[in-house]
Amino acid sequence: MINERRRRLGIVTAMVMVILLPLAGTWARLGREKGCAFDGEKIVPNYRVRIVDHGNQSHAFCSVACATRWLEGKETEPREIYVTDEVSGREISASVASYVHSQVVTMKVSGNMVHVYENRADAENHARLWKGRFVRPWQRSEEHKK
Amino acid sequence: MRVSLNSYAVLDFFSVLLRLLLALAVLLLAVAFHRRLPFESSPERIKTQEERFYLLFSLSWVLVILNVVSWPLLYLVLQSFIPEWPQAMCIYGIMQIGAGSEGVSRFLPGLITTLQFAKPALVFISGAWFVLYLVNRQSTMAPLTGRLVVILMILGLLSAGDALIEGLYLAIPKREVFLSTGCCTSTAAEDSRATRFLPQAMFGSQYRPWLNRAYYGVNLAMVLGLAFFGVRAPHTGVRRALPWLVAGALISLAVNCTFLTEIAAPVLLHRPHHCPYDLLGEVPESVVGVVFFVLGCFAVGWAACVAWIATPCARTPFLAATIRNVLSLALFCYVASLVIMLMELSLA
Repeated sequence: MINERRRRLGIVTAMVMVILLPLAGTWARLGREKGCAFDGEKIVPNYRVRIVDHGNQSHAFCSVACATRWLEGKETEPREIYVTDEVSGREISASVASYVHSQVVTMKVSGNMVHVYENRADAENHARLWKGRFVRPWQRSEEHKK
Repeated sequence: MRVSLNSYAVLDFFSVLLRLLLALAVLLLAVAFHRRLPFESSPERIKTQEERFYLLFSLSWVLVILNVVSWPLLYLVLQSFIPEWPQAMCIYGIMQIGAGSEGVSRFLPGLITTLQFAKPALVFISGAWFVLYLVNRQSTMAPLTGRLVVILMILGLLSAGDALIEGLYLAIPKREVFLSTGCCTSTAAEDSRATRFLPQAMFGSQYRPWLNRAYYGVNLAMVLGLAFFGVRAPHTGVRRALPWLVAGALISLAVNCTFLTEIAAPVLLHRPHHCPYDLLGEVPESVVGVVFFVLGCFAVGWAACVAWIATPCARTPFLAATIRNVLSLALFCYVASLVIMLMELSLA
């Protein structure tokens, strides 16, 4: 009788712990900085890309490569894309930025080689130094908007 | 690069050496005792033999514990390698090291894939041996000793093989690294994942709602099956229900693997790709749910093994009680796994 009572108590305790585990895990992650929405990598502020979808929700990415790959999997086009100027670290609209694909890798995991500049002169300078060429990573979105 | 020697790798090396020595000792002792067993017929001799078995079973105990520990340890070692390769962001990336290489590193992906199948097999056989050992210990004449020794031979052989493969994996220098991208997000990884076509084949292109229903349906059916036909039914009923429960466990294994990769991982990680390995580092408590599920599946298999192996020679009341207890464990594990996954997905 006592053994049966102990057994039941053990099962109830174990079940309570099972229920508390996901709650504790979620609570522990509350303050944690969110990584790239595509591969989970830590976002370096100077390479940050932000995409706003039609539900007005922002998705942050560690690089242009991750953002374009994320967009490839989406059926709808985004409302707005923001990129970061590598020189000043300022967020600018993707449509006004210049993009250079060079030999310099910004993120080893994603293998991103696309660099973002607000000023055309900075972009040309980088392209000259690192054998880069100008690219248009958001071509599909631009054509869709037109 | 060189042989990775961080603290986890050193610990694993030690565990591999210990397991290899124990596995060989268990294998040799088991073979020796199995040869002598038929000639020892008098109760006194059997008693003497049992006393000799003490060493074999003590070694087996340590081997079984080490086999179980080596499974999570392997993933901890792989996780600990991630900071050493900047191109790799998760265990998947580490598992790609050596792919496409022409040197000795080319064996690394094959070795790690073999280990991923060998570990669960080892844990399953270890568990089956343990449950049979419990039944045997409670019987007055120890009628299962011969079968236990045969299982120990298989266990020793498999453990030695597993330890050798793991040792090789750790020892091979991870020099030639050909990672264009060491992440499961790469196109190649997405194209090569095994479960990619399975849901589409089963439920068409709109497979998600169907896979959700299949996951909850199969697991609830297992819970109800275990509760009514496993735990509460009379002993003969349990034996009749066991083949169905085993079939259900196998189906649930396939459905749960697909669900974890195709639905749970992207939802829990808030990312579009399907990498269950990322859960270990980012949503570790969900891995507890996976562990509960595996334990539940294994427990159904252990109950079936005990019923099929032990029944012809050990019709003790303890046998029925053991099967019921193992199925109770399976029931608890299925419920716990379902609760954890349901809560994780709701909170994500």
